[in-house]
Amino acid sequence: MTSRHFIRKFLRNPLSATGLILIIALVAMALLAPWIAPFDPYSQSLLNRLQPTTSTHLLGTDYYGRDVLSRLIYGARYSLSVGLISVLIGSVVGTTLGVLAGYFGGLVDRVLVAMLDVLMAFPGMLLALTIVGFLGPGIFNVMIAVGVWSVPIFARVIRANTLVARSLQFVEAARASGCGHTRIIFKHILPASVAAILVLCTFRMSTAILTAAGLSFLGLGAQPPMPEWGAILSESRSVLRQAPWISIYTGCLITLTVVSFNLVGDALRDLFDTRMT
Amino acid sequence: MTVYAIRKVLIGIPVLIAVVTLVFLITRLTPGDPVRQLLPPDASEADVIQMRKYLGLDQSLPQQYFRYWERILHGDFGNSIRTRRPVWDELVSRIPYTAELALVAIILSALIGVPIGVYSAIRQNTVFDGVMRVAAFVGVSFPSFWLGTMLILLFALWLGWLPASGCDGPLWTLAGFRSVLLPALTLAIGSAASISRMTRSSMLEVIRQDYITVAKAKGLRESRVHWKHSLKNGFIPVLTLLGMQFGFLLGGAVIAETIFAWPGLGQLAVKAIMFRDYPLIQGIVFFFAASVVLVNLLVDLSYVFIDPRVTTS
Repeated sequence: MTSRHFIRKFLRNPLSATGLILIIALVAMALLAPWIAPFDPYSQSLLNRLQPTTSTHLLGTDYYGRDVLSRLIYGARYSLSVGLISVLIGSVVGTTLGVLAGYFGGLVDRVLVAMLDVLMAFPGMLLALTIVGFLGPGIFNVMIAVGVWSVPIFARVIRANTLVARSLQFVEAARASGCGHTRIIFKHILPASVAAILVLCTFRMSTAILTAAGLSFLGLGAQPPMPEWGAILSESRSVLRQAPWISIYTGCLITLTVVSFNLVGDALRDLFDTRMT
Repeated sequence: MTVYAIRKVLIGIPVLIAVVTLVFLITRLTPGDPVRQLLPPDASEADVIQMRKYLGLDQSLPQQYFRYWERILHGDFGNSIRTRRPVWDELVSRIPYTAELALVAIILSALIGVPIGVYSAIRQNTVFDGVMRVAAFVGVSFPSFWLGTMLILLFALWLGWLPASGCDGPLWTLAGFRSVLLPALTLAIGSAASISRMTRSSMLEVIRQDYITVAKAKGLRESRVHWKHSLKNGFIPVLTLLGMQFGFLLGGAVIAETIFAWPGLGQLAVKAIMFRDYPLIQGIVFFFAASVVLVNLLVDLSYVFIDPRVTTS
């Protein structure tokens, strides 16, 4: 399938096109936050506390009189970067381990697979909680925790792909013509896994954003007054009765973000016909 | 069967050993001196030495590791730094609450997910199937912490039907049952969505098989064909998922218990992390890992009863 054909097929599917448009809008919102946010997300106005929707504050204000819309717009920066960085950690480390295990086989493979099995035996959220538990609360530690959770998931898929690619004729031909391991891995093995890496990254983005928001919600991730979505939701609980809109808008935005990444992930998986086992 | 069970147990043991080792290494290799973090900033050097000795951190790493195992095998997880009570006692007092919550949640998720999945498969490509597939898709994307908050808003604050937080008694009392419903539902919705998706795809494979056509041709009632023959044969992947959901539920329990002030292990875990109560964190992680290994073992063993084609040899 040529790339143009692929893009056309992807955009013709209304679900994947909607997911992509939403992701582009969210990224634009994060990048343009200083220009599009009507107020400073930290600026308090105690006279305007807990106001519902008004013409000045489109999504109302919170307990400290801060503009909810501005906080959500700035929050996209934190939530999307937590997702991006943790997926980056997981994909780089996981892909490296997966390629090493699959390509070299033998003892390297057995040791790595045993280590990955242990990590996989741990339910993801518990693993993330354990790591944050030992590293201490904070947004950077959450990125590491969520990243480590993704490592075995990437490694397993990439290892399986490498095992298949390793025995293909063109790789054997490259080996016979005297190519070194590094060249074979980067020129022949990794390109065969690009589709799987891309699909996994998309799915892991949604899980990472959700987990990071969950940890911040528990008070273990982003700390107040940082406008991270999970932290905003956590703060809104104390005024749930007086100002339910803060929870409702924030939750809708998190769900929308997760749904968008899942829609794009589903479409990519179907188009690439990748098995994610 | 006994040999099969023993072999499965033996496979679970290395995983447990590795998890305990991992937890031990994370604690010991974490940057920063845990003793300094535990003590107030103005603590004297003598206090630091005494605390280090109390926690056994003055010994070499291998010595600490063997001592750690020796204590675990004797059921001694040390004392909580925050409450000074034995970690084991803290765990035992909280386990029934988390077990109750997880049990109700898994039953609810099966009760919601399995029938929707079966019905969606039987009525493939109808409006019901379409709506349920969208609902399941949104369900797996739904943040459980937000769902819990919304359930409180709707059922506790606006309608006033159910309590917003706490545990009001044992499950078999009306007050106790009412108080577990919202936290259990918070946990169950996400699982139910995954279960309905898995049941649907598993059933779709089974209902195309020849023996289902034969069963229908023999004149069996359609409901009997689907609920007895198809579901039983398509249940193995669903059961695996149910087992996997248990781990997911324990992770989710941390969030649900915090939202609903449910006095279980999850809430204890968050408090332990906040206070950097390492012995307690280790105990909780060990318990979680052990229960996940145990549930996976039970799921493996149950395959034999559900599907006789799974041999124990």
